[in-house]
Amino acid sequence: MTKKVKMRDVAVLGVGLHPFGRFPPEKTYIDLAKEAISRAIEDAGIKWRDVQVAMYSHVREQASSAGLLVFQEFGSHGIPMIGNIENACSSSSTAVWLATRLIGTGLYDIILVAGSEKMPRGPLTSPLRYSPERYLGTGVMMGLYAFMTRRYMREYGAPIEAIAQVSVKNHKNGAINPYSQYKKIFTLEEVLNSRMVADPLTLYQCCPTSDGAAALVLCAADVASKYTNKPLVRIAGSALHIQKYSDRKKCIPQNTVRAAEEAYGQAGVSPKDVRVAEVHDAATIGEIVQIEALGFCPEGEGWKYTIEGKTEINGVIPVNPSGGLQAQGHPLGATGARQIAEITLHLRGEAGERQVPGSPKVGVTECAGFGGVSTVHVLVRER
Amino acid sequence: MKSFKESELKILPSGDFELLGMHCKSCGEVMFGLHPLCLNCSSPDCEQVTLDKQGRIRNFTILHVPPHQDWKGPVPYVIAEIEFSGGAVTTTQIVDIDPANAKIKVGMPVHIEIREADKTEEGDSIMIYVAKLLS
Repeated sequence: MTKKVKMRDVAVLGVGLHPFGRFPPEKTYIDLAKEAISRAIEDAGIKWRDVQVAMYSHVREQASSAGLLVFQEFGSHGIPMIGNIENACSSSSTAVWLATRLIGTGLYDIILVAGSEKMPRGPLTSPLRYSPERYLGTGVMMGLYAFMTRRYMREYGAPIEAIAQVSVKNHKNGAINPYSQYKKIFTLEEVLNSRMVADPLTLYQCCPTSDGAAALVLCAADVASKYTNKPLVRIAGSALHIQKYSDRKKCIPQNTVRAAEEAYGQAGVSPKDVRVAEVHDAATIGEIVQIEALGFCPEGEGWKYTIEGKTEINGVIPVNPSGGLQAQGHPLGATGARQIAEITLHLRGEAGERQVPGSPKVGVTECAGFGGVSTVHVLVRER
Repeated sequence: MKSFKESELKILPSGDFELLGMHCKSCGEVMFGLHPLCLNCSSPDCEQVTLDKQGRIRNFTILHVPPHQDWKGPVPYVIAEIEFSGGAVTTTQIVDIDPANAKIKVGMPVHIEIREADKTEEGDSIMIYVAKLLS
């Protein structure tokens, strides 16, 4: 599919987050992004003027060139800046996919990717303002996830209790993540007995809407040592795939299956090598099907793998040690970059209380999006 | 009366309606609605077909929250994926149903009706299609 060109190694030089949560209206998407970018620049050990391309992602700001207003706060030094790279929930991971190729082909050495969002309360629905879907109430994201849940339960005999366990685990992880929106631990009963949203998904099985920001400084691996002596985390695999029409025949997301195959191939690793992952758990079922698509366990067994504790922080492949979208929150434009920041911290050994044990060397991110997007990145620590 | 989405729903002068689909002569796929090319194989060699007004529930859920602030419909309400003979699938609301007591199951037959969703500035009805359980 992709043309084979010799690519340079690309590294994550710096990461920065603004905590996810709810902030007053006067704290705008610009303020959130500024804080995340300042932290990423500092973490990378670069100066703003070392940035050669700047890309920003949001989904729902209803602002033109939203990112330019962010970047110009740092002083505009004449570099290419992109005001919005939008691909639904996969927006900033799509920007990383692009940036990796711009650096990999040798066009640029240092690229900044940032994403932020201020989201209203209430369910996420069809992006079309005037459509039959709006009158029918069919374009509700959690309705689509409920379809997926019911289908999965029918095809693989999974009980809802097993799927809901994702929420229990991720809220437990989120409770010790200083950047997460929710720091509350729930029992399985509390998750199952919370308000019904889209049967069988209860409120605590659906991610919140959030404010927040994430930023990454990406660079050519051979210039990294000029700026930092932190462990070098390489983006060893980067793939973006779209759901095909015929994929509807399968319960497990085939876009992720293909993206994972491509990204593992680029990195020269297999799912067995992965020691930490951040995946798209917008609803609990998301994590179950994505860990299967990523090859962590056989198809139809993600629910068993989950209740056996294999995806816990101390498990075989810790999944969503951040708390995931479920607990850390989901400011759409920030999530993809946030996942890559999280894995970078774990590979560097800097994830604090939620640090995955055993000095992980290989981590994976998977970010899905409305419209059938899936982006997969494989991160490998080199030193 | 006019259709909210003319690529899926055709309102006839009599007030009756047709559900539109497309049959690909290249790969054989039958899909819901009209599209520039076959959704499965991108072939232009497709013919317009009229779908049955009866289908079966392929998947469903009961939504317990209003989807948006302007929602005038019931809460809770039921949405379902409906499969027509030949394999075309669409998602719509199942109307005139009490979600708390209805025993909805995958495979149940439904028939398609049209409803007014909105009015044009001239007061003309803008129609959408909905599903109803066949009892």
